[in-house]
Amino acid sequence: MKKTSHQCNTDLLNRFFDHELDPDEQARFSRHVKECPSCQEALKDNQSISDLFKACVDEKIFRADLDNLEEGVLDLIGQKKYSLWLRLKDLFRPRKFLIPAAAIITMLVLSFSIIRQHGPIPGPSAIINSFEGNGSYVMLLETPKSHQTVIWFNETF
Amino acid sequence: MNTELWDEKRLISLLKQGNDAAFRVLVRQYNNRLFGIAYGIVLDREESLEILQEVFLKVFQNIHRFREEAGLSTWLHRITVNQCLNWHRRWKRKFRWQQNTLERDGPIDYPDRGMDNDPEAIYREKELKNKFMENLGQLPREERVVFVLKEVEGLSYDEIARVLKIKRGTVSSRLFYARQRLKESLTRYMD
Repeated sequence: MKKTSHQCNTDLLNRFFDHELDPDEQARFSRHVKECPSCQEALKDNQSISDLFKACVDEKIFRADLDNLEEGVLDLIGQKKYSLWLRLKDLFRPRKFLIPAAAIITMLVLSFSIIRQHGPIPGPSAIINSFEGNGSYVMLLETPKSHQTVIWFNETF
Repeated sequence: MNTELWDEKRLISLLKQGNDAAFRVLVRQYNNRLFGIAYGIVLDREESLEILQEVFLKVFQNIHRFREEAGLSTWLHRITVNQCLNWHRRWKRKFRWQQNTLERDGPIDYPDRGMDNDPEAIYREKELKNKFMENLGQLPREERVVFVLKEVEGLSYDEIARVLKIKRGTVSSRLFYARQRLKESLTRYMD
């Protein structure tokens, strides 16, 4: 099967150079390049530019003081860590008594809320009357909600 | 210290715990590569070193937010590129009145490393490199960033697209134009 010719497509050429074509296209373009002096020239130029740039950057890396950079970075990180720790300490130092106080307040609030939830045990709303004899004691009471009358009798022998 | 012994997951976990040795490993593993990216973008050695310092500091401050959806290197590349672009913006604001940007202010001095003893060849090499870096500095920033990530790190189009959050097609076209412009500007020197 005859494939279409690539006709020195510069976009394809760049993607071929960067190995970004799919394997079939890469193989097809490779065959084209073998027969095309202008594409060979363009690829050579791409390679020269790449080599030149890498050489420039490598020289800069060679001359850059990267060991000092490592120490500088670690120093800075150390300082940041230290200042973070100090900030945390400062945050808690003046609040030395605040935590126990907060705990006590919380406990008080909790106990009040529990008492309020259950409420006081309802007792008689009022003693209507009481009588005391020689051997007995009678009391008339009224319940708070249903207003029922209770007669309480106690013998005291 | 054998930095190869630290696999990425373990390194990230130790970094999150604030382990000093892990930071040392991280710096050693990435300083050359990130310096190459920073230098390719800002074209100034001292500034690149400062940017790199800021990058590692940012990593220390934000490692707990790193969710490992992308690889550590993708995250580092992104921080480096952003720091470089921020630096560029800062610099532009500071010296808005100046017409020349930093990368154009004078030839770059390259050391002789005994590659050739012919003085004329050495001179030609230096001139070519100076011209190349000058032209690189004149590329639109978007194209330069893509070119640098491709050449320094050898990233694929997809990886570059992930770092810069752009489309793969955009990566391809920016790279194409960057190379085209560099070739055109260096025609005289490359023949």
